Amino acid sequence: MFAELQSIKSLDDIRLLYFKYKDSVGFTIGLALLLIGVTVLIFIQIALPQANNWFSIQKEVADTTSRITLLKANSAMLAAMDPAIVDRQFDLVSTALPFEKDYTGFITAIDTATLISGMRRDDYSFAVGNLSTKSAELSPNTVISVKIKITGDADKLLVFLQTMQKQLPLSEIVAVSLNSGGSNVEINFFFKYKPDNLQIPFTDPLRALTENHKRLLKTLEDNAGAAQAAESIAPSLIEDEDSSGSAL
Amino acid sequence: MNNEINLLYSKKQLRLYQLTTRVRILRYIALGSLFLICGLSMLFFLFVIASPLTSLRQEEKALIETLSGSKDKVIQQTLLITRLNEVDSITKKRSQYDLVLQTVMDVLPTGAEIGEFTAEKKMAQISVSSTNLEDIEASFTKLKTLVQNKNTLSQVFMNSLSTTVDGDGNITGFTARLILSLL
Repeated sequence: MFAELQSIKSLDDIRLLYFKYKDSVGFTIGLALLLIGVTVLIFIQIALPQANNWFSIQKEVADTTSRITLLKANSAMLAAMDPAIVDRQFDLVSTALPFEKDYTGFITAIDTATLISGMRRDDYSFAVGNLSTKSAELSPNTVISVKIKITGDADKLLVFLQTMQKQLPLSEIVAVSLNSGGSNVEINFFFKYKPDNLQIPFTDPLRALTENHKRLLKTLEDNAGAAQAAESIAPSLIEDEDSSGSAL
Repeated sequence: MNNEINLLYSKKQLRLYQLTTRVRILRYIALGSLFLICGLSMLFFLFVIASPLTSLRQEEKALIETLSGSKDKVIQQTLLITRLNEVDSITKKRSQYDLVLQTVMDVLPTGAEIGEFTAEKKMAQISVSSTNLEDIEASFTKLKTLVQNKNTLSQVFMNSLSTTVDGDGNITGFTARLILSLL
């Protein structure tokens, strides 16, 4: 047969060889193996990439569908929100935890607590630090510490401490010391800078207020209301107080 | 007779053309797998063509464009939730010395008076005095009860006990160190 293959000179020779061997076992096996080879080739080169492509598309479809569901939910939530209420809640929370060092708020909180408790307050000062520099905004330190000296008995000190717990901006009594000479109180006021260039992907689920958040807002609202009421009772007293927020 | 002009196959040549069952099966398998793979390729191709991905992407894009108009509201809502979580964390973690003082004042007898009160971190110190020794004893007992309850105080240490002569009578006082449990 190899001699015959070598003697091929024209297309007719090939045709002759084909008709001679087309029903032979060797030709059939050869053809079958060739078909299997072509099949494998098609499988690797076409079918497999097509299947991969389809599976990746299916995954993308699932992802896109879930993103669309989220977007629709976000859109519906935004539509259902009352901008006035959100603004008020945002203002309230910003007062509780200011975006910057709210010295006026800090001084007012101390003055209100002093006024309500009936204690007498001496001069005090804040460690101001940087106000507008980039490093100040990036600083992890989000408390302003103030040490004050107040005069009054234990009952008044208790009222002062209780009032400070309810004042906005939020504060924490870090240390307290009462003796016959008066009381020294160290207060930390909290604040937190607004993140720079805040980017929120629309595909992130927009969170709604939980029951806990609503309770917290109610408490903050009550505390803010109580503080305002106290200020309105004796506004002149607050104004007359020497609130010397001298920078160190 | 010359073999060259014999049109009949010899036995050897006949064997060459007798397809066995195995060869037939191989032929069918080869053909079948080729058709199967071609069919599968076509099927996946049609699936890809018919995929709703393009329309979904358009829908997503349209929704994002709609939401872009409410970008400020989205940021405001996100900041509101974040701030509220932070406020919640602060209010839960901050010290409650007012509660400590309140608890101690509530349990002390009316005759006993707090002369000194110091609190820092998880510790407090208190000085109580009274002209009546029974008040001092009652104060001890009440403070011990507070420790047993473990709500406010976890431990109480007596630092000193003193008596001062003051005009008509004696003033008895004690200083105690309190380990706080609620902070």
